[in-house]
Amino acid sequence: MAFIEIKNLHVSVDGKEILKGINLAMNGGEVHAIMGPNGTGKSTLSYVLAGRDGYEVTQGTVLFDGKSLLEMEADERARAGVFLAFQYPMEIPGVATSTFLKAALNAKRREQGLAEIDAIEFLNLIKSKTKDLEIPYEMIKRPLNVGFSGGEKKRAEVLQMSLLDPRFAVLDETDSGLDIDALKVVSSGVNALRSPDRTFLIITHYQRLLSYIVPDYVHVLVGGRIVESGDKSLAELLEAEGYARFEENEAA
Amino acid sequence: MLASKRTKRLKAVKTMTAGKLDGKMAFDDTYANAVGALPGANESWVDRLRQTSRAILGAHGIPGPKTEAWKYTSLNAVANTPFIPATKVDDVDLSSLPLVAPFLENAIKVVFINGVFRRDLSDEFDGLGVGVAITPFADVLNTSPNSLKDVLGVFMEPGESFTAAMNTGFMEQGAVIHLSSDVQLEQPIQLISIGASGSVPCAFHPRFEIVLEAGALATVVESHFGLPGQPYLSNPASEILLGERAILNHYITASDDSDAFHLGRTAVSVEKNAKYDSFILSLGGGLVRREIKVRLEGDSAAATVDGAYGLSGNQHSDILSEILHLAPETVSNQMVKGVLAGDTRGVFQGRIYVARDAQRTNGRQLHKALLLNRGPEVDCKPELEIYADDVQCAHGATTGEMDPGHIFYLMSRGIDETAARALLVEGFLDDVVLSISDEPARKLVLKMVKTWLAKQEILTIGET
Repeated sequence: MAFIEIKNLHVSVDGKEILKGINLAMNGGEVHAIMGPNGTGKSTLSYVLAGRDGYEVTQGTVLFDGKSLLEMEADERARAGVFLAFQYPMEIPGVATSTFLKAALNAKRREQGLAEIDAIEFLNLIKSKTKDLEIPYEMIKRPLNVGFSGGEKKRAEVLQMSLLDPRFAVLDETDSGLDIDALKVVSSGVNALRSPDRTFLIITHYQRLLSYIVPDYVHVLVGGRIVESGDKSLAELLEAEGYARFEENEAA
Repeated sequence: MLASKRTKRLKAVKTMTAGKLDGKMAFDDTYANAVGALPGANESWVDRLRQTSRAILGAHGIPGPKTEAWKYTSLNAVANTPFIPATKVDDVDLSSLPLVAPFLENAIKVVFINGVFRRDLSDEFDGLGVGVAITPFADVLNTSPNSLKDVLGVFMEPGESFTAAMNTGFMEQGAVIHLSSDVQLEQPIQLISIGASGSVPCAFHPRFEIVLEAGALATVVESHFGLPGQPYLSNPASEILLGERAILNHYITASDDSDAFHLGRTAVSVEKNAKYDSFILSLGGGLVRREIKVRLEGDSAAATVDGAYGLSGNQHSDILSEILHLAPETVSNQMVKGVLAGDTRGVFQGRIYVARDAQRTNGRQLHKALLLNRGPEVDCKPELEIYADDVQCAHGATTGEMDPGHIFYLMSRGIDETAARALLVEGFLDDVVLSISDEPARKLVLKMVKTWLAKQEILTIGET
């Protein structure tokens, strides 16, 4: 059995069916990319996997390491090793980034039966990780994502991912709003986290990100279904030809 | 030298007055007689000030809903409680005091229990240095009342509010803080007013007079709280005069016992280039009414009048703010944030007044309320009254529930829902608390907010 198995997943939002039978199997250590035009259900898929309210699963299952993911609350999924890097990370006034990071890390440690992290150990951990991601250390004293630039927000997402050490990471349009330098930093941060114990699902509209984070598999999501799968060359083909071919098929 | 203002009329400004009477007598003769002779009674102007105040109380009674300033806050429970003067209380048990006291580290503590100054519980405050004087209010009234003649009852006129009239009519003890020109007091002063009714409901009316001469600087924290027991009525008033270039950091914490009534008022006069930096934290009490009136009297005078409140159970909190821009280039900033749970009611009434010659004034006011469930009610009444033509004034108010997107974001990182809510509520309040400029005071307020939040029922109620 694959590490993550999505079977015949149908999802509706406000009574409208968005995902119409997704099938996808991902093994440990693999990097899968989902590409598709806007409004085709890419973000819906990421939110359903992370457990956001408001998405009604009408059919299908998602197995995560053999367990039914859809029956778990969002926080349980996170502690079990699911991570969603948001397309638009939330700005939370008044909550210091460091306070938030510590709360998240300790939630996971409690789940693992570990004591809360020592204050000095935590600071050292954050210092080394912010340095790797070229995040100014001062940033973690600021309220979470408040006043962060687009690039800073995405780096902060990767920082969180690195800290929480997930087994399954979903990256939702991580390249949006990034200039080329920020894209390189974020990508190298993600690449550093690639490991046989970690599976990535990278959701993106453009091929650009996949030049930096090279996927093992590429899937095309159109009209709520995966219409084609292939290797990284499929991404290059899509970049050259666009999605028109698939959308015509979908319409027909 | 401070200008003599007792004889000179203050610039005429329409104030919120007690207005029409609603029939009930405030503090009838029984209470007035029981109070007895008060300090300074032999000094005619002090006596007259008290008599005037009591006459106002007698004529207008306890204000009811027909009085605009009391439209959202009912004093029926106060009117129906037979209070005795707190000086008659002799069965106070202080054993639980250390558990509830929000002490400010490093502060000069001046302690009052039921309005009575307690030298035994206070820090030594004689000999703080040249030009710094902290004196018990009753001592000043008995020995040198005329030193207060240009301040007492000048900036807080009895007729301007019921709260002011009640305090002034029965004021007995308190503190007078005076800093001479250019004296900068590093160490904060904490005025601690503790209510403890014992077996009978009691009322007390502490009076704080704070005068900073030109260029002086001080931090004063007022902490009002109480011990469980019979309901008490805490009715404190602070009258403040800041000379030119003076800076006062003035932070009030009100975390009274859940059965208590707190009716407090601050009146401030800010002269040229002086700065009044304030914060009100209201977390406790069955009924809390905090009033503040700031008069920006001199050019470039500035005030920050921030606040935060948290309500649970059946609490009622009412913040009434008046900021008067009376001179050119004056600046005021106000952000008040409230968190409401249970079956509570929060009221914010904020008025900004800009006089005709107060050109190039800058006034900002924002009130934000966060409702944790469907029970609470928020009433917000902002008022801008502008007679100058070259001003920047803005006000805003929002009331809303917690953003489900924010909760999801935190949960998606493994934080459970209750903890996520706690972080968000704390963050909502800390957003304004963090603007407190004095670090020890900021830490104290942050800690009080955290302690309040630790009462888990406040957060879990929201899930229903």
